[in-house]
Amino acid sequence: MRLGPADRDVELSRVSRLTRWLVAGAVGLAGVLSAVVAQALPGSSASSAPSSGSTIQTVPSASPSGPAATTPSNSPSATDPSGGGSNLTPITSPPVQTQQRSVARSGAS
Amino acid sequence: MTHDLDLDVASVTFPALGTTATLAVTSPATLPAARAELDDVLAEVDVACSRFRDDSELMKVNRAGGRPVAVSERLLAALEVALRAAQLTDGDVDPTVGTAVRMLGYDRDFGTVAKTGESLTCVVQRVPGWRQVRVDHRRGTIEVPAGVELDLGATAKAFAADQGATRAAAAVGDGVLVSLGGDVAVAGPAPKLGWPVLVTDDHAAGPDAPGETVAIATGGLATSSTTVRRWRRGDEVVHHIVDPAVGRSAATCWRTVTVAAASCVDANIASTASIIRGEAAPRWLAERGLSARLVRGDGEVVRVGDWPASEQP
Repeated sequence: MRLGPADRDVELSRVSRLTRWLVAGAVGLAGVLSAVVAQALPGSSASSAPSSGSTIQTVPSASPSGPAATTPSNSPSATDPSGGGSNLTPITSPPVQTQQRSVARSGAS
Repeated sequence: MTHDLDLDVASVTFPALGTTATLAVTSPATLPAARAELDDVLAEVDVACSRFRDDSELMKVNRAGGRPVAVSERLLAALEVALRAAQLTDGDVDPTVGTAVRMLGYDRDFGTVAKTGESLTCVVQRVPGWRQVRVDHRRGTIEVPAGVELDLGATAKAFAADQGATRAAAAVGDGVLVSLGGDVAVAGPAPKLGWPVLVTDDHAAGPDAPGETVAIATGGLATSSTTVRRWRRGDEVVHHIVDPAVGRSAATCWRTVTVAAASCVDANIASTASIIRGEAAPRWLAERGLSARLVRGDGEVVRVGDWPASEQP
C-alpha cells in the first residue's frame, strides 16, 4: 500500500509527538533517579592534610547562609529544647579577650 | 566551694557524667540551690542517655532488636538534639555511631577503657545513618533497626549544660555558668565583664594550661579535640570522634576546635563537625556566622568570624 503526502504528514507528526514524549520522560526519569540517589548516598566532606607553618590565620564570617534544612518525616519537630532551630545560631555577643582569672575551662573531655 | 572575690563569683567542681562538672553563680548565696537544680538535670540525663549504664533508657533502645521502646521526655529531647545535629551537619555528627565507637574499644566509661589492646579488625564502612531512627512523639517511642546502636556522646553533655544552666538560673534568679567536661553554657545575668573561660585542649588541665582566656556573657562555648580520649589498638592510635562516613576515628586535621554559639549545643555541634570536616571547617563555620578558634596539630591557630585576636605573644 502506498501512502499519500497527507498520510505521510500524519505519520511524521505522530513520530514527532512520540519523540517529544520520550525526551520529556527521559528528563523526568533522570531527575527522579538523581533525587533518589542523592537521598540514598549523601556526600561527605573530605579532609586533606594540614599545611605547615605557624602563622595565625583569620577567616571572616559570612552572613549565616546554612542550607535550609528540611525535617524528615521520621525525625522530630524543629522545636529544640536548647533554643535551636533549623540552623546553628551564632552567639549574640562574641567572646572577648580578657585578663581575668578563668572560672571554667573549655577543653575536650 | 570557691569564692572568687575579684569576680564576686562562687563556684564548685565535682564529678558528673563520667567527667568533671563546674557550676558558678554570680550570687554566692545561691550556689546550693543552683547545685540542687543542676544535680536533678544531671541525674535525669544520666539515666536517660548513658551508654555505660545497663539500666539507662538508651541501652534499652539499643537492645530492643528493632522494636519501638517507650522512653521519657528527657530522652526524646536529647535524641531530638542529636538528630538535629545530624541534620545540620549533613550527617557528620550522627547518633548512630554507637557500634563503630564500641568496635573501636570505647565500650565503657573512659576511665576504665583499656588504653592498649589488640589490633583492630573491622570493616571501614558508613555508619547506619540517623535517618534510620524513628521517633513517635505521640506514643513517646524510639525505634532503631536491630543492630543499630545509638550514642549520644557527641551532644548529651552540651544538652545537659544548656538545660542545667537555664534551669538553675531560673530557679535562683541569678547568673549561672555550667561546664560539663569543657562544654560551657551560661544563663541569666552575667558578671560585669562576662564569664572568663580558659580555652585549651583538655578541660582537665590546670589553670596555667596553654590557651586563651575569653569572656562570654550569653550562649555557650564548646571544644572538641583529638588530643584527649585517645587509646591504642595495635599500632593504631584511635580517638573518640568517629567520622560517620567511614566508621573510624576522624582524620586529624585540627588538634582542637572551639566554637562560640547561642547555645552550648550549637557550639558543640559545630566544634565536633569541624574536626570531621577538616580543611573545609573554617569556611563552613564562617558561612554560618559562627565564631571559632581552630588549632592545627603544629599549633597554628585559625580564627573564624568574631573570635578575638590573642593579646598573648
